[in-house]
Amino acid sequence: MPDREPVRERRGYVVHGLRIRSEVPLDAPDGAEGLCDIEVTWGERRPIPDETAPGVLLSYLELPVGSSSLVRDDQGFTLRVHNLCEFEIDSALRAVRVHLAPDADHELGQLLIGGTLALVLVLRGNCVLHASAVESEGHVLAFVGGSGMGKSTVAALCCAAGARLVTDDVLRVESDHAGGWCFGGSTEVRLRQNSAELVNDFHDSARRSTVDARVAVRPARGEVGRHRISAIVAPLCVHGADELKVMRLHGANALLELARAPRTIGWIDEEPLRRDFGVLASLAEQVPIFRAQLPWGPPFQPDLADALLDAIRSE
Amino acid sequence: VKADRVAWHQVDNEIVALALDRSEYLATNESAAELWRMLAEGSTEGELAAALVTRWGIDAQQAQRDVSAFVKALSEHGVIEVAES
Repeated sequence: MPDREPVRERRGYVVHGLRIRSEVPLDAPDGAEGLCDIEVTWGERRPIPDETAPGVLLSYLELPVGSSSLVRDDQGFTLRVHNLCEFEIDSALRAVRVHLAPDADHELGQLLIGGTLALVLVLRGNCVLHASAVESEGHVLAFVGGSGMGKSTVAALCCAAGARLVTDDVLRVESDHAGGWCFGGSTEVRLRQNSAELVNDFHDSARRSTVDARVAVRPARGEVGRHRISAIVAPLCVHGADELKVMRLHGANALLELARAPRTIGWIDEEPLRRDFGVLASLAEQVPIFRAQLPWGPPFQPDLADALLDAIRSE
Repeated sequence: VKADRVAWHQVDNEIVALALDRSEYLATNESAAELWRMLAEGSTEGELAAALVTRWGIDAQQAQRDVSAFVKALSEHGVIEVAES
């Protein structure tokens, strides 16, 4: 049996435009008590099968920690990380109950709840990108890309240079006639060990080790609400390059760059794909999209973030 | 165009299509985008070729070859259904 059980203390948060009350600690700004959009609670420990739950299979993918499946039945949805844990989501998409396998570390639930909330956002009809975002001098820049593409590192570099964090890893986006919009999310940026030198740019009290062997830093953060997106940047991190190159993307290239970065993948259900595609097409028309080739570290060029921010602002 | 299997959007005069069952994206340039829009409206290959001649000033035989190649490629990707005339 695990030596520590989770503490069942319920706290309020505001994240991705939602008010959430959760027993599972979230990497999110604190929010007011009272009415909430989603309630997250710990369920009982129980064996988690290595197979999909009964019902209609909506998505399936292989994760580093095992297979993951999302199923819909009459009661709601079951997101199962096979053998490890599962998240029961009610049909109204207002309650998430987290069940751990008997021998699973409860920090696993904390690690996976962020991705689970991204999934709940999609089920609620929202478009969610795999992206980080910062605010600098009134401009919100989003950095999009798959795992390991450098978006969190670029966000941390910008924050070390004075930008404020809007979110890391999960970016809820919208588009309307007035522009592209995103919502404040996490309070930390999680860095891989190969970017860990950046932690020296943050105060001791603003960094910690995570259960998945990363280093999390907690920069100054921007407003928790809805932000107009000034630009979206796809980082292309090139070891050995000595020059920053920023290129504006147009037309199909702009849309394809966004389409490469969904936060939730493995969909068998076509409705989220169709819906997200429409939002991203609108974003590609409303928001400047860039590809930025970045001389990559470590060590990182000391003025890299400033040079990137200046290059984007000047476009 | 198989509307139930394919979603598509125009961005800056180019088309990006998404084959929903494979999560596969297809993109066109501006001239092919015009062909795509005509296909979506049910135009024939002959009408597409005529549009290429009128719009881009290429000769009729070249236009027919370009349209045939375009239609064949889309058909192989499963995003259009070619009706016999």
